[in-house]
Amino acid sequence: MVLVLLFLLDLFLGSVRIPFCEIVKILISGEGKEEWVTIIYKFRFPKAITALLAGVALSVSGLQMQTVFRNPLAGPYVLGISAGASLGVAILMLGFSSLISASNILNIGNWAIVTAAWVGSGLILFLILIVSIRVRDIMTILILGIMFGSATTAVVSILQYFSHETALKAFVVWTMGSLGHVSHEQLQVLSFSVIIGLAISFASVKLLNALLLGETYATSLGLNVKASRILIFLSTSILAGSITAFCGPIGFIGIAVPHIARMIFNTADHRILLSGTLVLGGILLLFSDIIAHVPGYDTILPINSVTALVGIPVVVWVIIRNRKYKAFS
Amino acid sequence: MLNTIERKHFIQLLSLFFYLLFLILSVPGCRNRSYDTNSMLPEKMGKEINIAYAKGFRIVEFPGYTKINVHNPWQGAENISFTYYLVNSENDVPKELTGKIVIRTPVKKIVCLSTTHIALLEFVDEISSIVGMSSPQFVTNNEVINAISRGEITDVGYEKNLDFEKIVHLNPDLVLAYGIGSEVTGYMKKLNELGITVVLNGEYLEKEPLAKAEWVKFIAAFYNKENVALMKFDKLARQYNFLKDIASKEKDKPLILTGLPWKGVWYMPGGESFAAQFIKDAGGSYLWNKNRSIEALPLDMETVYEKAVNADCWINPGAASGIKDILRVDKRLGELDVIQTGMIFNNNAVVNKKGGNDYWESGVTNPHLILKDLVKIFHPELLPDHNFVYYRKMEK
Repeated sequence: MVLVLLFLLDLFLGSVRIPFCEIVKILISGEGKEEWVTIIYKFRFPKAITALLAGVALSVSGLQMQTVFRNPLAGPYVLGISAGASLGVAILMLGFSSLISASNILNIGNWAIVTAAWVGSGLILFLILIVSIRVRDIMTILILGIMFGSATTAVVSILQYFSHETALKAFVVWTMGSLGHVSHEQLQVLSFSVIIGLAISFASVKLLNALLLGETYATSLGLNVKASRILIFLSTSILAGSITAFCGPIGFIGIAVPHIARMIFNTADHRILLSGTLVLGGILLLFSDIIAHVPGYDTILPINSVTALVGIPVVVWVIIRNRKYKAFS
Repeated sequence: MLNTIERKHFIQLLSLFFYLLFLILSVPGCRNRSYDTNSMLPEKMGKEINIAYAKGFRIVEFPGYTKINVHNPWQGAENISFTYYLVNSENDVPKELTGKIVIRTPVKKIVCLSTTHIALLEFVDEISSIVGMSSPQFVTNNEVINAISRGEITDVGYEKNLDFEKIVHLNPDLVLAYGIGSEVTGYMKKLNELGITVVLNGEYLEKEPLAKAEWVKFIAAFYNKENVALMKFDKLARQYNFLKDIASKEKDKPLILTGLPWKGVWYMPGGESFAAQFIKDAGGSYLWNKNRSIEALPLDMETVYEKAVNADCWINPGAASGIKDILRVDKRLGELDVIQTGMIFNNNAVVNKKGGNDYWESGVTNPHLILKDLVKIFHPELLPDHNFVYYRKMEK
């Protein structure tokens, strides 16, 4: 209910002031002042859907990672997915720019960036999958994931160090995340990937519940721990990887929302938790997006900063309310 | 009798004592020196060179030397001023200039850390004095490109990656630098320690096209060519103002959009910015001309769309070389009327292979030509015979 309300609110509020009745008319009949119709359908609608998808995908993948690694600080990027995506984009925008041209940076099309991010995060996923086939201990995988991530971040820093201001600024803006530039056709690809990722997540609810009780217990239930891990890694990468590819790395949501869901629903059962996280993630990112567009003002804030600033008070408030809260009790 | 070790000790102590004594005495000494500054020639004895537009520097000529002040040479700098003293190398350095930054003129070897400096040097015909460059791959000036390929100009690195060893090896009379922020003082200090004089050039901070170009007077002083620069600049300024007067009297001002969005955000030049000034002077009406900012405004795409949907003309869409490129950045830009009319012009008619754009290089000293291009775009009937220099129409 709140989700639907916020989705509508995201359509109603924006930098351009459009009267309430006009928006209702446009939404119902699709007719109205031409500019406003374009703003609603081509600007706000794709943006709201992107916010919804990103919130859902990142929260769900965060939840999965926290369960698999049994670590409350894990998030969608713990496997190094965003670092991999950043490396791909950095090579495209900074690496090539020093060879080709700094001023042409803005000409790099949206799809090129998406592809670069995909390739980068896919590479990291591939490494993680190889490791998880060979290694049994989950902590080893966690450590290796963090190592891969740090290594790619180091390469990105070197690229940043050697790049010119224009290219650097363009790259930094990419790392701040953005929901507003995903086009209609990109949105189709994004929705498709998120739906596939979510389908795998819902299919692995039982695996997640079993893993929560410990790997030994899961094995005794007849579960193939390695296979289920790979399945969960796959869905996490599809979810977090595609969001990062289209929107840039959006932080905080993935770590915070699963905790909020656990506290609100007061359960560890992933059948409930997964749906709860999904809805809360959508709500939080839609809300952040409304704030980021500073309704009534011309300007816009980077979504990454807003998610953190909006999310942190929520988490703090929830923790203070439930002092007994433990992530894995 | 003291034995040798004790004597050594004693000498050490004695030298320490004298050293301390020297330190104590040198404090009032310092004061004496600052007193000397006051005893320098009074300002009224100097002849100030007329600077009509630029705000970042002033030049005062005194008998025996020229004093140059550069004010706030980086963004956000406040009450920061650098003073340089130029002395003709045929004369002796006057006594009152001891301890000051003294530069012997004419400068023979110069290292430029920005491509815009090339234009200033070209204006006074001193390209041949360049021995080192930052980012030579972005240069569009043919004379400089040739010199680079002959190995007469060395790549000295850029910003944080300046190659100090190369600069020292080149042993230039002057390094012409610019500051994006106060961090520039870091490498200035470093170069000073290495015995190299650094002069900050703030031309890029000027808000008016003519003010930027007026920095040629600044450069000229280092080559004793003030008179040439004054004459050439006056001619240029007259041409600019003549055209500006005609264009700004046009009643029918087209609505102008500028820039290109990036990741859903449109960094729009402020209403008081350099870009806005050019549009105004060329008889256009900038969509954000009511804004009072110099800096670029990060705007939401939908805001820009609503305001720009009926724009008559769109200039400087980033690095786009055709309408195709614009649509590749964001397909929704196709909703703007101006995409249909095709009245889109970019300032990248002269670009080298690496993307270095002459608009930002020689354009600095050719504001009158840029203005002509813009007037031709906004009011083609005023300049029917003019051929574009920096601008070109975007292909469909």
